[in-house]
Amino acid sequence: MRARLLALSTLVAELLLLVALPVGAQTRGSGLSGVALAYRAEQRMRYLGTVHDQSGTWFGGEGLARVGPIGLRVSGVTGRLSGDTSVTNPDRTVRISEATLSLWPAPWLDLGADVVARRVESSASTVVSRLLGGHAGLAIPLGVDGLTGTVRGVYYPATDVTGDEKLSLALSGELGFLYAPSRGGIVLRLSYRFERYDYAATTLGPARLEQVRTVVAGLGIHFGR
Amino acid sequence: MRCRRTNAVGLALWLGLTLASTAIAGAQETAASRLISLARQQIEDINPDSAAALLRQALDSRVGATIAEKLRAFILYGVTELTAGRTDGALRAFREALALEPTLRVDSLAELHEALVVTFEGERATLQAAARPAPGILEFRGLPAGARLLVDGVVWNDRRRQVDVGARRVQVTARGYFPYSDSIQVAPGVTIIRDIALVRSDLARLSVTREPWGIVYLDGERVGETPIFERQVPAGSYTLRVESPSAPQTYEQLVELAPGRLTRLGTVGLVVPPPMSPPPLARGDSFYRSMELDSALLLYRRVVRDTAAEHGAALRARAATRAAMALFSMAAGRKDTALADSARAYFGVAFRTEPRYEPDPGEMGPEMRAVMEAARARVLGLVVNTPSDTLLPPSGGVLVITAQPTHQAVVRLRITRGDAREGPTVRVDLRESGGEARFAWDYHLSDGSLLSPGRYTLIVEGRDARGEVSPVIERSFRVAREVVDTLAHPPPLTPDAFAPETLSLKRAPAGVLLAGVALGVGTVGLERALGNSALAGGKPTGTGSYVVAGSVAVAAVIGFLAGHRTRPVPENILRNEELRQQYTRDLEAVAAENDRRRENARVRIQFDEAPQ
Repeated sequence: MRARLLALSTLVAELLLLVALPVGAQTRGSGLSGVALAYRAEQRMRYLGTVHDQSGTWFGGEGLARVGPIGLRVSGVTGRLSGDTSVTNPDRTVRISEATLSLWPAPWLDLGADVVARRVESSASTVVSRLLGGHAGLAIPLGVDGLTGTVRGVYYPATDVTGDEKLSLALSGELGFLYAPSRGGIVLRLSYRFERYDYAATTLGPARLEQVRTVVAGLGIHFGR
Repeated sequence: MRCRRTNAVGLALWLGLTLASTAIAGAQETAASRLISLARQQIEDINPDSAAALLRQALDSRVGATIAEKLRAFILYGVTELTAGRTDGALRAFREALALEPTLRVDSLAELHEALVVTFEGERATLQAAARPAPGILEFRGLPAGARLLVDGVVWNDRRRQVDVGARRVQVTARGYFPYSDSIQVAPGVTIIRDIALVRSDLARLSVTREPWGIVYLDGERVGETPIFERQVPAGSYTLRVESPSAPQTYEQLVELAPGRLTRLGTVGLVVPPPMSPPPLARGDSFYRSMELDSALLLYRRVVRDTAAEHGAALRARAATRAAMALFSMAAGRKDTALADSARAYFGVAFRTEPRYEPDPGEMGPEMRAVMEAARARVLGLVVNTPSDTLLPPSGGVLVITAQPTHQAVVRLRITRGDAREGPTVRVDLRESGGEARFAWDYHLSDGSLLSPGRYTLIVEGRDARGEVSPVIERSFRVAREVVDTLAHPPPLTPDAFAPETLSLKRAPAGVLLAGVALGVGTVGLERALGNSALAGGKPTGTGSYVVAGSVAVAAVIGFLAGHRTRPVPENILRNEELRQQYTRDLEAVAAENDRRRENARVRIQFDEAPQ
């Protein structure tokens, strides 16, 4: 099953590359943009054989500065995740800060480094995760100026967790579209984001698995080309 | 009165210095002052050698005596030398003292030596005499026998003497002549010889001229050629006749010439009004016609010498000629040979200024013309002819410049860069010629290179075998390339000239739809691809992924429908490229042709207009 999914993912990625490469891309402009973000998040967590679900809405924003092929994105988002009010599944407050340095070697290809600080606070504990990783992304033109499909995958090989076990795996993927006309003005984005955090098993207990599904909607403005 | 005041000042100074030094000594006696006091004591004790030794110490520079102390020491030293019978030593000491203070008096020290004051004052007089300027010498000639000569009221029995410099008043009286008086400025070391032409009291003087020139007769006796200036003749009534060879009528009139009086008739026998003079000469000519030659001369000289006014060469030559004629007439009337020399010099100036100048035939008679021609023969004149505007081939040609000296001479032609008269010379040529010196110039520099465009100055001068130098003639000229017609650049290609290289098609490429599908599938499958199966637990994927997948798909469909794509048109691309290349070739061809035309443009040499 897993092998099938991996093959499917590879196929999708190849298809996207096939589309992105010949179609070309947007201009490599310079500019500033600011976007207000709204997340609809659903978190699923498995611990000691029990699966807990939580959901909530987060709000935040991001700013992007781009000079030619180099860009810096800074974002912050915060909100709550509501559980079932039990001791094992309490409500949580989430605060995520993220900084991304991107390099566009081609207008359609985005490579870069990501730094994420993720703070999850509950009545039982406060867990702070610091993640350092790299990303690869595609920007696929969708026929209209400024309308692009976006694909982005992030893998965090270096992690540091305070208040919980160590992370054995941390990654995320995001697909969606972005509308940002090259003449400037409005920015619209909608994407689906999936995050996976596997906490390592210890002598005190088995591994704890978490994954977050998020629908990200953004509305903002864009200056420059 | 002035001498008394000087003495008083000197005495006051001496006393002041003595008192001051005494006062200072009283307050704080210096080494020099102590030595001088001791020396004074030795003098009073008649020990001159001891006193001299002390004074030498006082005057030693290491002692640092003040001026007042030095003065005292020198005077006292002089006294010791007088006492010892060494007058020369005393005079040297007094000279030193007078050099420090020329108004110094020693009367108050007279009791030290009986010869002190006399010797000191004698030295002062000697020094003052040495400082006086050298006298001049005055010599008087032409005085009739029995004439009485007074210079500054002193009767001179001789006619040559040494006199002090400055203004000297001269008075001469002689029987049968009008008294003469004048003032002569004597310069140091200069000998002034003054010819004095006394006017006979029984003679009258006559000034008359005519245009054109004529010969003047009084009662049929020839007086001379016009202009006649202050000519002395016996007083009486005469029939004046002026015969002009070029005038149709002889002029006659009766004149009464009074003894000792000047009768100035001016210009006589004018049938038609005289021609208009050029403005700078009008006043001079007016005085000349009225035979006021002193005034006329002054005005003509002004025109000749006023280089700032930039009078033309011909005008200055005419003024110089008129000045010479006036001087020649004055020389004859006043019997002054120096004036005749000045007249010859002015004729020379006229021909230096304008070698081709030729006065009006009716202006002067044969006697004066002979003098003028003699002056002309001595002057080296130079006439330079330059082409005003010449076009020559770029590779080389010949520009002919001619210089015509008035007699055999070496003519030197120089060309300097710019308008600077004293700049680096870029070309020098020499020709010896008795007629026309031709300089066939190929407008190349001395090093063989072509003269670059710009301004230059041609300088021509001549020198004959006697060393006579001609006036320097300068002509400014400009070297430039001829302005040639060049081809206009082809007009730039307008957008209309090009065929569209792409064809715009409605609808985005189908790949957009494919991308939308792929993104949608990827969104839905993202959780399955990345998620942990153990955690999925058979629960369905969140609805969010379907919402996003659907939105992406819709966006792709909208993009496909609303977008457009372009298709290249190869034949148009090829045609446009050929058009661009042709345009570039045309531009290069025009530029090359224009370069060729400019390189082949002829060289234009334009001389500025020569001053008239």
